Amino acid sequence: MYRLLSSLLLRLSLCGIGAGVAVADPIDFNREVRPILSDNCFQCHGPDAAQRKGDLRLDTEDGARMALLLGKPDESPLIQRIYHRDVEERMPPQDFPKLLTGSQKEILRDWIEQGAQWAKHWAFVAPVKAPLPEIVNESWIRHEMDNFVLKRLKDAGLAPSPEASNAALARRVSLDLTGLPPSSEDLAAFVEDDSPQAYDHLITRLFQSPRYGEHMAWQWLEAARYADTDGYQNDGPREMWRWRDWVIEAYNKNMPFDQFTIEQLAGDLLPNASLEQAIATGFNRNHRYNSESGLILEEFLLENAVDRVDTTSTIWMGLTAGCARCHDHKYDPLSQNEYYQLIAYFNSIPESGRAIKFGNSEPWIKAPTRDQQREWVELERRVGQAEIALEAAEDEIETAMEEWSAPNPTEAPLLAGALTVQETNALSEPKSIGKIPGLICNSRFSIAFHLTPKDVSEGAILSSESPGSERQGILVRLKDGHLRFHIITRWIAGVATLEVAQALSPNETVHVTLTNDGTQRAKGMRIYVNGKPVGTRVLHNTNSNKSTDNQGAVMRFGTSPHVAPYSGQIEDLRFYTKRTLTEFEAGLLAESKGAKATRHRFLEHGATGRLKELAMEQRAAEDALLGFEDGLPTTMVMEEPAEAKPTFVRDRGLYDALGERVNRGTPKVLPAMPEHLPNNRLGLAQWLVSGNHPLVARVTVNRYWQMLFGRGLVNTTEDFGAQASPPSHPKLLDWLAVDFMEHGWDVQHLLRQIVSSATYRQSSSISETHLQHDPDNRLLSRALRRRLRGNVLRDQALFVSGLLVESQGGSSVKPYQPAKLWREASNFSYTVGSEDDLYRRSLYTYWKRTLAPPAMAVLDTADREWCSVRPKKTNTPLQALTLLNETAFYEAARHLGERFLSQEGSLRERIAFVFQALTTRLPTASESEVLVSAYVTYRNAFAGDVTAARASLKVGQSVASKEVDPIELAAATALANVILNLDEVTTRE
Amino acid sequence: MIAQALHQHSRREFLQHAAGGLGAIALGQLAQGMPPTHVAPKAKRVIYLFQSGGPPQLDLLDYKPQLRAHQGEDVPESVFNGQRLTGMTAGQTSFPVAASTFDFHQHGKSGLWLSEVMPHLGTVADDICVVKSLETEAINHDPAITFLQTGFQIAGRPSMGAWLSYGLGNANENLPAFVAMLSGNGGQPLYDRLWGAGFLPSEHQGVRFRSGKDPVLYLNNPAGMSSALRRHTLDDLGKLNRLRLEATGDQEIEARIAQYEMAYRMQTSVPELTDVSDEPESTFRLYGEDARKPGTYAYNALMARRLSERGTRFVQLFHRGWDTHGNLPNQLRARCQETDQASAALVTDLKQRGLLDETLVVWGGEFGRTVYCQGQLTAKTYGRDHHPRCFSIWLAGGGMKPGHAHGETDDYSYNIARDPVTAHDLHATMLHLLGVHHEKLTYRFQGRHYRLTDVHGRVLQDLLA
Repeated sequence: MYRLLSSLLLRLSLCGIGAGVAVADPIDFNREVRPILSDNCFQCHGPDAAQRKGDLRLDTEDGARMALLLGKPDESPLIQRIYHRDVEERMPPQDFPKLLTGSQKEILRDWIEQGAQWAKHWAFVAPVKAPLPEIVNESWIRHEMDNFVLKRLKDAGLAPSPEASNAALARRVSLDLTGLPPSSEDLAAFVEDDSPQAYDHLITRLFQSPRYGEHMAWQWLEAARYADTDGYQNDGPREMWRWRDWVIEAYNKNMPFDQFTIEQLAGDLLPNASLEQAIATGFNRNHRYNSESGLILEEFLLENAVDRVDTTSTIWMGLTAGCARCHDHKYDPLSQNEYYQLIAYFNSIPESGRAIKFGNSEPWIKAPTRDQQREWVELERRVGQAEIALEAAEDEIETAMEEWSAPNPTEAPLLAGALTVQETNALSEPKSIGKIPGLICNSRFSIAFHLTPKDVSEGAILSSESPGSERQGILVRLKDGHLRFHIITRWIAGVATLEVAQALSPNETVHVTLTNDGTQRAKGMRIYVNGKPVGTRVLHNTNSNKSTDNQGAVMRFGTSPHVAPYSGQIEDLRFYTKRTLTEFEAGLLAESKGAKATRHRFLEHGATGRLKELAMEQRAAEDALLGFEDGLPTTMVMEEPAEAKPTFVRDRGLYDALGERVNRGTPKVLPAMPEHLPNNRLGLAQWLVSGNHPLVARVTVNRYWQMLFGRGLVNTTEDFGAQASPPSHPKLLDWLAVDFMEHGWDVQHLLRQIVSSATYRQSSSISETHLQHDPDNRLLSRALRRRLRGNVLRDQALFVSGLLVESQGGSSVKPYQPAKLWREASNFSYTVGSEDDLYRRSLYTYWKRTLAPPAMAVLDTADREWCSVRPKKTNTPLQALTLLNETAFYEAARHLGERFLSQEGSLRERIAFVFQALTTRLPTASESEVLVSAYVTYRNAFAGDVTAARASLKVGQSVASKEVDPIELAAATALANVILNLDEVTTRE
Repeated sequence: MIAQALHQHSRREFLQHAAGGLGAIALGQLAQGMPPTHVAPKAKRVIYLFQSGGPPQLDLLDYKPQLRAHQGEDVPESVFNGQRLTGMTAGQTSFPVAASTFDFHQHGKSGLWLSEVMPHLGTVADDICVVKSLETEAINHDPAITFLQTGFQIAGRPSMGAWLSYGLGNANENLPAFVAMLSGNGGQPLYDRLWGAGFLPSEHQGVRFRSGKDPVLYLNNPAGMSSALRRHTLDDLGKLNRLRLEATGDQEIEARIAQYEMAYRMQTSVPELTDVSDEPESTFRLYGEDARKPGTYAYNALMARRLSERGTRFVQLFHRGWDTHGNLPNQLRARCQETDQASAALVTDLKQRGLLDETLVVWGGEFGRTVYCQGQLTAKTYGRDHHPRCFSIWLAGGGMKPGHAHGETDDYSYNIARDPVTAHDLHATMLHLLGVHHEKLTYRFQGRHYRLTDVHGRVLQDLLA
């Protein structure tokens, strides 16, 4: 019964026509026939050649012609088979999980009878602006797009809803564009503005508010699977908030979507890429990244690339490309080879395959904020000035040096001062040197010595490795003639190793300086031989930049718990803690008796008066610069080596089942990449937004439409392929897509158009007619009524209560969360922040991927483990519990209660004030009655239990006003708790 | 009310997709108050005792007495047969056999061989079905546990419990259909996704029950808000929301009011559930004294029984700390001390209450462990690395063959010698016992009709009673 009814409804809604005329109407292949063939037939008769049965394919016109006779359905094998009496012969086969409904069969029959018109899948054909439908009564129409909507409504015998009230509209558009309701002042300004441009001005104000970028960023973060942790197993922390802030900024300056695309996908490949453009590429580093010690690198190198391709395909093209990872796509013309051709754009970045356990994995960069960039320039200038001042004093220095009797160099070590220096005479027998105080792997350090090996084939020169299997510490060794410098946090999962490319010779003395900038990554390590930087190879680069100190064990010369002993000598061994020696300094050490070294020694030890001050200033300026650089935020980015890594098709999608080698290339079903574009990520990004890609603009405008109407014009936001739900208003979708491109991918232009339309401005009330004829609002006969999502609900509560702290950007914060929620499931603890951190917008809440912020998770936000472009809509008791009882919501209720009590006027008027702050309207008489009586009831209840009243004021870290009667405030808090939970308040209307 | 929500939801989904899937089947049957199933169900619910970290099959359920004769010898190359090793031991120069230090004994009429480290399990030997030939595709914890829980190694797919909640709905109006409970200190972390809803609507995600004041997040009213006052506020909220319903005509408001009422009922039903003071002393003799302490495995096992009595569709316990890379004997004794008595007690208890026939109990982890020693093999201790090629689990009740052992591994418990079982087969069999055809419980996402069993899985007829 239901099935019958539903297929009828489906048919009617697809045709968009009233009952009684269904059958005779011409069949639209793309909207009516392809979805049936795709869902029921393509799995065995579709693009996947390997799975094709009976050599029949129904996804191409030529293929399908084999199974049908034009105009003769009853003689067509396709029709014969689907109606076959013998269940063994009937299609789809018995064991197939889907059944063709009666009306689906009829559609196929009618289609063949009408001549079986074939068309390419609509989404793969470039959109064009169709002429606007002619409408007789045009008074309703405010914008061209309204024509399309009104035509559909009229065809279905429906009328649009009346326009929403100004107040309702102000709340709606404010929530939609900024994620916050209008303030009382903004609301008054709009309602009192009589000019015809009042609404337009409101939109302009919303676009100009930095809140706009913050709100728009939320959806992009969900699509881009942004989080503050890695998301696998231990789920260690990472630092990507500079990318998050880049997104906010991009929206706030209304960066055109084509630029937004190119910078995020390939900002690193732009000529003279700026720091900001590099930060933007963090988009494709936001995916989960596994750090398990036991993992196999090749497997996760593939997984990383897969995530990038799948996410990029979903967001820009609405293609479920991931389906072609293991085999040709079952529904869409995308072969497995083509999938790996896409992989080839994203798998070359210099990454190890294993994430580090704490911190950012390579490649990453220091990513100062704009303020920090200015400060950085200042600090560098200070160093430069100190050097210039010293150079200017050269004559003075020379004169002073003549009067200075240099002490013995070994007694007055070079580069002393703030450094800890461990010096010894020549060492040739293995021995323990003891713990070097302050020598910490994840802090700055340098080591220098003269080396004279007897045997260069093997041997530990210096080792502070721990004896256990994790081997934490430093190791300097020889291996097959080459010098290697290791920093080990956990063998073999956390190691950085550089090897000098040039081999050493036995019995030859060289001076070696090893430095680490505190990051313990290969890029932060240097080896100088005889004072000069030398070519090195990176053997390992998987170190964790742990927050805990890695001190290793005692330092030994010539021996290690894990490596054979060294045979030879070292001399003049020096350890520098908290300092990364420069090339200049390494040069001084290599020639410690040279003129430069003598001058340097003088400045450190012999200079007096003004010269001493100049020397000290130089050191102070350098230290300040280094200290500053060490504290800068970092962010993961995309990088591209000169030569791309080879890419192979993976049989069944398995990392170790290598198939044919493939080159970069775009799917054949789409327009070819223009010749002038480079065949790399940059070219791919430019191809996407070149203007003749049939999918990108459609998919993008559809996502914005979904944001404003609750569902996309194509309901399957993530899939525009053969399995997509057909667009409810195909011409409108195409019109918007073309218009978007014609206006330079201007997102605010697009949004302004939509929110200005009569369609958007309708009331959201639901009538009997709506329920009967447009229950799902596919025809857009009214505006959207939908529960707000967790982030908006929390932000709204903070905003109206006056608690919201509106500072922008910065590292993520930790608002309230029940105790031990992390500890019970993981090896991390959550420490609730304080003061401002508790009241920032939810956008800035620390997002631990495997244990998401609980109130957000309950209230339908995406989990950030994978690309999510279609929000969930659910209604559960846990949501009610959260909104009623969670600390932030109840604390906000108290502050709202304080606002209520501080108002002038009668009880009724004060209640109206709070009510209006949240709904933008005054309560009706009936509502007012309920609220007044509620307040009296709560006040009486608390009057009878003052202890309870006082207790209820202690929810949250903020302190309740002492000047307010606790009974009144407790009652006002409970009342505000009710108002914050009103359906109207928790709903976008 | 959840049933109502499901009903409405299913109807919407159905209308949108007009496609198969249990949602569609459930509709008609739900309307008639019948459980929506494809085949006659044996079980009504599942309790899954997940032992996270990879319990060592060689020391628990897969008896290999002959290995002691080969102690310390390298595992023959023919056994490895080119299989991959994890990055942790791939660099080892030798792979010495580490025979189990624990003795095994036969138990019950069935004569199942069980390790001495799990003495209580022996008391229910005739009720359990041991599967020694499970295999998995993943070699690391996160992908492996995600695979066992969702049928896929990658994130974003619904967990078993979510599928059941979606497919079968809720049998108790005052409690969630799917409850997850965690225990154990340290060891491999656990993730929301393991009891998550993936692409299914979030109402199907497992509700994590916790120890302490709020067994369900935000269950209790804020300080100072009495239950009586909460009732008042909800009445007022209801009145105001109904006024809004009149003004807007949006039926969703009615559903919202219902959820607030269910929330209020949960404030009573959950404390009733978690308050074990009504249990007789015999309960604690059976489960152990730990069962009095919220947050322990034994307490959670007792909760599982109490939830099952109330009809909860899927209860899943997660106990951490089975990742025995080194110092296995001590670590294993500690884990068994924490879990063995309560696991066996749960089977006994369900049986005594006549619930075992309709409740499927599953015990197991995400993969097995290697026969060869990880790290130093000494007279006293050894460690084992991850091993995906074979591992052992046990099941009880709900239509499983009791006192039975299924499948065999080779002499080194390295490869499967007979009757391999995949996670998909396990899932298909579990669904079958619940009356659900695993190929027909689908949800359309990204253009595909997704299943718990991906495109695999077969019902293990040999295991059915």
